[in-house]
Parts: sequence; C-alpha cells; structure tokens
Amino acid sequence: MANKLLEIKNLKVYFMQDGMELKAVDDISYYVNEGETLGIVGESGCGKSVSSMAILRLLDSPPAKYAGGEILFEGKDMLKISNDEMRKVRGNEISVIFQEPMTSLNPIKTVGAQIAEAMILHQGLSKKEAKTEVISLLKLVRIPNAERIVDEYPFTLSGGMCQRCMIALALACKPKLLIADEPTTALDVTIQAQVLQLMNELKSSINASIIFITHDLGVIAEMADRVLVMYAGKVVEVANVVDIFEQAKHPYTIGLIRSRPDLETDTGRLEVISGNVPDLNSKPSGCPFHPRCEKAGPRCGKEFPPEKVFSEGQIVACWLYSEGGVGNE
Amino acid sequence: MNDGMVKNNIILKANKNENYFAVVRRQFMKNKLAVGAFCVLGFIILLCIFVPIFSPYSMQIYFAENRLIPPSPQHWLGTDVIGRDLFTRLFVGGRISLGIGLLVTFINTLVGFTLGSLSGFYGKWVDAIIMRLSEMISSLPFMFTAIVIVALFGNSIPTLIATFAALTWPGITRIIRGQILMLREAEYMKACEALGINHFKRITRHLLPNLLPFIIVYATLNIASVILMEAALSFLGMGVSPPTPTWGNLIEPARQMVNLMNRAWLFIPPGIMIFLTVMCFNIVGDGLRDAVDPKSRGR
Repeated sequence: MANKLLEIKNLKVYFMQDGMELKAVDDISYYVNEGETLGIVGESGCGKSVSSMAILRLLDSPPAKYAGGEILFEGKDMLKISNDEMRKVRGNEISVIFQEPMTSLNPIKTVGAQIAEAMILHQGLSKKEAKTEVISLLKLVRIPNAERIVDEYPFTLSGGMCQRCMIALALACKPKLLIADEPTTALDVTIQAQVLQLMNELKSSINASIIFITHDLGVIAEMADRVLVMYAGKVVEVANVVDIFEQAKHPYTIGLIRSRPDLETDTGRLEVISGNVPDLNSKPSGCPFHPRCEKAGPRCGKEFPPEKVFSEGQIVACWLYSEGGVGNE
Repeated sequence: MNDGMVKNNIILKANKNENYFAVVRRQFMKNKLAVGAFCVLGFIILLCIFVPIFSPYSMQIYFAENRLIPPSPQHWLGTDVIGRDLFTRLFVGGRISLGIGLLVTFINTLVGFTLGSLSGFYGKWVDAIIMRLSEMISSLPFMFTAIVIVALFGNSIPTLIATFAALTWPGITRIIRGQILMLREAEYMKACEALGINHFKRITRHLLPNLLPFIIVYATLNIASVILMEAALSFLGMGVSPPTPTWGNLIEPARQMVNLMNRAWLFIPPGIMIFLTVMCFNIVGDGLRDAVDPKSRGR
C-alpha cells in the first residue's frame, strides 16, 4: 500500500458571520497517497475549495476559523506549525494552481520574473540560474518560444498560456503536492483538454500527488485515481474513479452522474437533482442532502449517517447502507 | 497550439528585457497629442528656468519713465504700470506657479500615500478616522476656506502651499485606499501568499508597484488643478502678494476696466500661460492614464 502523503482528520473550518458560525467544512477526513490524484467534486459552495485552501492556511482568518481537526502533511500538522514554517511549505512542498489564470499573475511583472521569484526564494538560486531554469520549465509546460515568453507580461498572453505559466509556477520548486483548484474552468474546451493532458504527463514525470478540485465529472474521469464527493461541507462518498462511475452508492453521487449529458444515448432532457445546495446558515439537520434525496426516510433528518466501508476503499455516508436503514415512514 | 500565439501582437509586443515602464513609455509615445503637450510643457519649464537668468531686466527694478510701454523690441511683452519688464516677470511668475503646483502635489501625494495605505491596510478604526477626516475636509468649500486661512495666517508662499496641501490630500488618499482595498484582494496576491512570499515582500514587490501608475497619473492632473487654484486665489489678491509675480497675480490688472479695455498686453500673456500649462498637464495626464492602463490600450 502506498504511503499517505497528506492525511486530513476531522477537519472543521467555520466562517464567522454576524456572530453565527457557518460550517463550510464540517468534520471531514480524507487522505492522499504519494503519486496519486485525488479528485474532489461537488456543487458550488460545498466546501471543496475551502477544505483545500485550509491545507496551506490560505483562508483569511477572521472570518475563517480552523475549528478543529488535523491536517497531517508528511506527519506534520499544518494547523500547528508556525507562520515561518508554513511559508517554507507554501510553493515549495505544496503549491496551488488557481482558477483564474489571467488574474492570478501580477500584471506588472513578467511571467519569468514571477516564476523565478519562487525559485530564488525557496531554492536559493541566483537570478541568472533561475532564468535558465524558468526557460526550461516553460518548455516543459509546452510554451512555444519560451525564450521570448519569459520576458512577456501576463496580459499579453492568452488564458491557456497563462494557465501553463501558472502550472510552471506551481511546479517551480518541484512540490510533493499540487492543489489544482478548478484549473480549467476558465478555459475553453480544447485548451482544457491540452492543459489536462499536460498535467497528467507532468504528474508522472515529477511523481507529485495532485488534489484536483472541479465540478466537472468529465474532467474527473480524465484525471483522478480516486474521487471524493462533497456535499454541504461533508464527505458523502469516496471511491476509485471507476467505482464512482460504475457503481456509485450515495444517492447524491448517483444524481450527479445521472445529470451528465451523454453523447451515446439520446435521452432528451437531462435529469437533474431537484432543489439547490442549502445555504450554510440554514443547513438541514442530519444528512444535509436529505431534503433533496428521493430515498430519504425519517432517520435521515435526525443524524448524520456513519461511514460504511465497502470493498476496495469505497466509503459511503448514507443511512441506506447502514444498519437500520433510513427508518420507516 | 493556437493559443501559443501572443495576443495583440501589433499593439503590445514587449521587447526583450523591457520593463514595465519602458512599455508604458512606448505606449505614451504613440499618443501624438500627449507627446506634443509634453514637449510644450518642457519648453515652458525651460523658459521659466532660463529667461530670468539671461534677461537683462530684473523682476523688481522699475523705471517710472518706462511705465505701460506696449510690446516693443526692448520689452517683448511690454511693461506694467510701474515700468517693470513683463517678459521677465512672466517667467519668474511661472517659476512660482509651477513650483507651488509641484510642491503641493508632492506633499499631498506623500500624505495621501501614507494615510491611504494606513487606511487600506489597517481598516477598522484607523480607516474610519482617516476617512471621516477626509470627508470633512472635502466637504469644505475650497475658495472660502482658503481665503479664511490666508486671511488668518497671512499670504506668504509657505502658507499658501500648506493651505493647498491641507485642502487637497483627501482626493489622493481615497484613490490609494480604494486601490489598496482592491489590489490586496486580487487573485495574484493570494497566489503570492500560496508561493510562500512573506508579507513585507508581497506589499513592496507586488502591491505597491501596481499602485504607482495611479499615483503618477493623479499627480500630473493634480499639478494642473493646483496651478488653477493658486491663479484664482492670486487673481483675487488673496494669493501670492506683489512684488513677487505669479501667473495668478499677473492677470490681476484685468480686474480694472481701464486695463481690460486698452492694455491687453498686461494680462493676455499670463492668461495664455495658465491656459497652456493646465491644458498640457491634463493632456499628459490623460495620455499617461491610457498608457498605464492595459485595458484602454489598443483602442
């Protein structure tokens, strides 16, 4: 069994708003193995980004509050280390690829200077050394004319190019873990395919683990080894990517997969999960999905179901599979 | 790999090792009107520096027998009511007017930068105090307040500079505060943090350089408005007092009917200088604004 690079135990991240605690991430646990890609899926506002930004303590606090749990990266608890230690981890051992490539680069610095900055900071390279490194890195992420682009400003580049530069920036210090927060949502589909392919190739060449956050199940199928399905701050199902698509257990996951358009069969209208993601300040009691769930029973509104472990590491949190079931009407 | 093409190839192709300011300069050079205005300004400034040095006349010495000579080969712009050479006085006045404009702008930009940064970064009560103060100051009617202050403390040049600076800092303070509030929430500031760059470097190397263009543009436009304020105050006799000339008190003779009707040479040249200078500063300011803002390029 592969080693666990990152392990999150019972993490709770709350936001304080008007004296109320909004439970954005509510008691979740997961792990990432070395060299593995973990996909995190869920609708907007279900805590995908918050849970991953918490790994690097990138949430502004206040209003965010790390209310409990542990984030173990190579055995160190990221919630307990000092700010100085944290800075050494950021960009160096764990790096982030953000959603908006065009705005995630500083408009008044050349892309080369920005990538070099991280290398100079973490690896102690000189400016000259860094520049040669940057050029080879840009070539690695398939930027044509890397020698010229290194002196370009971000606003002169297209979205796809910027995202490649962001990937180069994230890879600058050869991190062990890459957090990709919806890296392809701002790109069009052809560029998206190129970027995904690139990430897959790079991943195998530098042997990093990736946490891939998205709401696009197609992307998940392409990228992930294992998939974590989140709903309203809770993990509802974890499974291998094949199992997610072929034998999903949780009604929410099943609903998500059904609501995908299918090219082969002509089914007319798409199926949808009725209702919306609940507001964080009026979260339903018990299983947060129960008001939208077709199979919900009286027990679902009372308490959150325990995790039920199926074979091959498929874990589902739903009363359907736990002893006693959903309860009787 | 079509996205490999660099966008806006024609409009914006950064050359090798060209820094941001070189790009801005190149953009600015494309705006012919602004470049023209910049040259005119340069010429005016050179005249202000050199004419008083090389002029055979002094701005002070006067000859009663030479009073009110219209423009002539000896006195290019004529002489005033007590016989002083107006060509010399025009450019000595320019030194004072431009000097006040520059100095006031320097002071209020510095003050605005400090207070605006404090306000933007600190927030909370610091922000509340600075913003309420700036609202109070900007709600005062400018002319009236300036006249009262000058009446209380006398109309020396230092008093005038202090008055103008005290009354104009809220503008730049708010601009800087607003920019900081916006920039510190920018994605790339978060990205910097995610790269492990420390707080100090994030501010000095990534945030402040983004602020600089706004400050430069503001300062350029502000010089023009200070020159106008000084001219207005001096015209009313509440600004710099004679014998020290400024463009404002040089047009003061136009308040008398006899001068307005018959002696155009007294007030037309300084009037033109004020008009030209203010207009050129405004055009240059606009040109700079277009040059520093990537979004307005290529239009």
